[in-house]
Amino acid sequence: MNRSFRWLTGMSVGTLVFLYGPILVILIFSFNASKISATWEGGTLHWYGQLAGDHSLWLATSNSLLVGTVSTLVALVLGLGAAVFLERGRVLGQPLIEGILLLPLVIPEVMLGVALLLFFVMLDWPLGLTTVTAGHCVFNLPLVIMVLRARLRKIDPVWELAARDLGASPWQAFVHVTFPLLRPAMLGAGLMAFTLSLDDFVVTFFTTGPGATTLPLKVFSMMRTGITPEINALSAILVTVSMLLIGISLAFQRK
Amino acid sequence: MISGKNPCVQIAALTKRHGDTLAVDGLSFEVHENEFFSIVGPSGSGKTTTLRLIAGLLQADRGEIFVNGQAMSGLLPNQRPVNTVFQDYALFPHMTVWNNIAFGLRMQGVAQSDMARRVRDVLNIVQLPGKVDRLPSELSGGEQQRVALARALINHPAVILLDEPLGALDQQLRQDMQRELKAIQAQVGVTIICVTHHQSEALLLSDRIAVMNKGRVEQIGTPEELYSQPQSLFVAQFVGQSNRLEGEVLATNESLSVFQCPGVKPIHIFGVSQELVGVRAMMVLRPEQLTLSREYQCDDAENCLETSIDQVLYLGEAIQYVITIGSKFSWTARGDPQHDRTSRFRPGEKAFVKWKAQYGLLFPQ
Amino acid sequence: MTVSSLRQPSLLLLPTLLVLGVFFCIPLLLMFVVSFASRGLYGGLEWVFTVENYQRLADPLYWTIYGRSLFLAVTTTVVCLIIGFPLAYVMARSSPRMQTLLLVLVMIPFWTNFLVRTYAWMFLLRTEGLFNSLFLHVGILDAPLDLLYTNGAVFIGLVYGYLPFMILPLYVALERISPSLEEAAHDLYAGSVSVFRHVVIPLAKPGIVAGCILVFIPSIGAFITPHLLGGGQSMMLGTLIQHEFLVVRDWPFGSAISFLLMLLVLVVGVPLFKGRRLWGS
Repeated sequence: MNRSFRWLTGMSVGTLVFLYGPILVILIFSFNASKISATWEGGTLHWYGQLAGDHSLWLATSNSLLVGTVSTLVALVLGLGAAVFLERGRVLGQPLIEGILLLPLVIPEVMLGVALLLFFVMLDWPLGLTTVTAGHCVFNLPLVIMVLRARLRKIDPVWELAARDLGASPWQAFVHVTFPLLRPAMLGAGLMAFTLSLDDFVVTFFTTGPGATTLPLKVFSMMRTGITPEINALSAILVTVSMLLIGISLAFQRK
Repeated sequence: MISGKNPCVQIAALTKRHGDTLAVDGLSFEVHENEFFSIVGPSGSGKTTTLRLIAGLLQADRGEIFVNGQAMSGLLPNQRPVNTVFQDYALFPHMTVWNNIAFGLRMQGVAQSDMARRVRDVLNIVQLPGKVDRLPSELSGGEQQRVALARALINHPAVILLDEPLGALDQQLRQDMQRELKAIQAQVGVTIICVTHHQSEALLLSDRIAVMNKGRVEQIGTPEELYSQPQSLFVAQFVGQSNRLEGEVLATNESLSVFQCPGVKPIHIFGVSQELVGVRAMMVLRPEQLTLSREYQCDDAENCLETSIDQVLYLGEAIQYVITIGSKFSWTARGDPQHDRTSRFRPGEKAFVKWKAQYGLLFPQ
Repeated sequence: MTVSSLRQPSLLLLPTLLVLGVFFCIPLLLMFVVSFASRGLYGGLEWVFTVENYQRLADPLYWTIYGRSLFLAVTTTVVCLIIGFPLAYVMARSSPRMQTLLLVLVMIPFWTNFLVRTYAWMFLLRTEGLFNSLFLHVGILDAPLDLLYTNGAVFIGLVYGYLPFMILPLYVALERISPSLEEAAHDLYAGSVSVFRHVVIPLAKPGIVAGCILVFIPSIGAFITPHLLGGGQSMMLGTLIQHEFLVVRDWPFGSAISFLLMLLVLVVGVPLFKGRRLWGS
């Protein structure tokens, strides 16, 4: 038993090396002085400096943050009500509604992207940050609902009933009993939705218009023009941001 | 079935470290063929570790385990003629009762025809016929336990290890299973090593018991030996209920000694050796050795103390009286509920407790 | 809180249904309708009903793309399962502290931008990339290999991209299996392989199914990976759809392909809906 576990541990280490190797290579080479990459020619922060001076990058970042914030808020506000209703209430055709709620997460992003593109074009709706945000809402909303419903399922309805029994109205019972218990899940769901939105490329790619570049789109266009160390530097920053986000969400979970 | 004296399992100087502590410290003992052998002790005493070492789920740091004369060190669990009944039964949830029981046979490559017969036989032994197609989740606790037992028995191992076997069962079921376990062992003829922290259960089921404490064996003996001739204070306190009195041996002649606890009349004890004079010691008595009465009536060979009743507890088969001796020792005495209600003591009543001098056990500290 | 206790219960659900209805259901329905329309002369649409688009799907011209997409998706799933299982198992059987550490280690790539993770392989596999430079330097090669813009590059990119999606559900399922079950199997004469075969894998099945679905579906509809790592030679359904919509501007045909893709996904995705209950989310 110990012997086979040693084998498995060895394979696991291999998997981890596989997962982290490429990322670490990028990180290391983001400090490489050579522009033609792949051969180490001394360490430098030059490329990071180039990034800092790139105005289009800052614009793309702020666009991403804007779209992310709006779509996350929409998802949270609308999703909370929907989740509560679906978990605590009954409605005709609930399976159908649940299917519709699951579908945006299941279908390939390409399909969602082109469908939205078709929709906006046929309505003569100019493509831009609004259309991108609308697209982001489509996949964030079901995600938030799913997370909140899972958490609601674990909250015993007996507490709300107890509050009602003690004279609280349904609204009060919700605000004072259920909502505080849901808060961590809302933060978690919000964080997930925000990250998903920041990270999204495919749907954004199809629904964007002139002047509405987001961070992933900017990264993509940089990759299309050619491999440069600036992309390495940008990648390194994005990876670090991910690590920070995980750290934050873990810290929230501890509480 | 009378257990033969042939050793089935021999443990020699077994040692196992767990981090910084010695979970098992130089353990040595023997288990005889067809014996029901229990290992008892408080949590952390190393009894579960010992069981896992015998099963092969842990490898010892030092020492050796022999099963039927064969050394076990270096052998994996699936190479040892030992089967375990786990505390949570560990029945495979995705397999039917039949497949659970036949699992060991399947792994050993037993032929299908043989398998069917042996499964049927063992199901009869554990009295669980006709539930073969159920999943473990569909069975009651008692039924699951029988399946776990059957799963072990069917392989005819040299030793069956039981890990807190009756823990999850309710009182009535426990008692039924206790009787059945003994019956099955007699019927099948297999060596059983059982680990439990219920010393009363161990007394009931076992041919011999090992009392473990901090990784070592304090004493091994039959239930009666452990109960009436404990060799250490630990054993005296762990096995059965004990009434204690702390004091000093004042003097002793050939047969009789005087034991003094501050605030209490001097007490006579038998069989104390000369070297214990002036030594601090603990005296131990069993509840059933005490007699309560309303009048002072004391023979030469008896000790009699004044006391008052603190609590009266009705146990059904006995009445338990909690009394205080020497203002800080709480003792338990028994009363017969068959007696007239009016002759029973009530809380707060004054009484006299007495016992024969030969009963007191003395343990130096 | 029950429905009867709320005065306007549907008020809670209505906005959500509205948003999804307008921005999801209608676009999809629209696309379905468009798939039966005809392409205009300069792109765009002509509202002439035809089933030609769906008939075109059967054209052998596209069979390589279907085949490649299916093949890559299936092999990616299988390889992810093989690579991911040991790590998931080790995670599940580690001490709590180790589990948290390993979980964080697996989550970091999971939360890292997908473009960045795909780019990493562009960097490694290109002609002036790390692998070629290394091989040339060490002397294994005389001239750089064409590693990028091949099916192999797409395959590696897919495996790399979706491996965390396999590891996490596997870990959840494996963690649920009580270690005493494996001990019991050993105790009953099963060797390590048998323990896996008879106890671990059957009990991990919900996690295996979930992981496979979570890898297969994005793989078969992949766009970023074939686009960046595959180039023109390794077209998959996702890149084909983009090509038809944005380059050729044949919206009806692009729509038809989308629904073919959707069909492939639902065939695997419907068990997802049912499997979710098994898996217990």
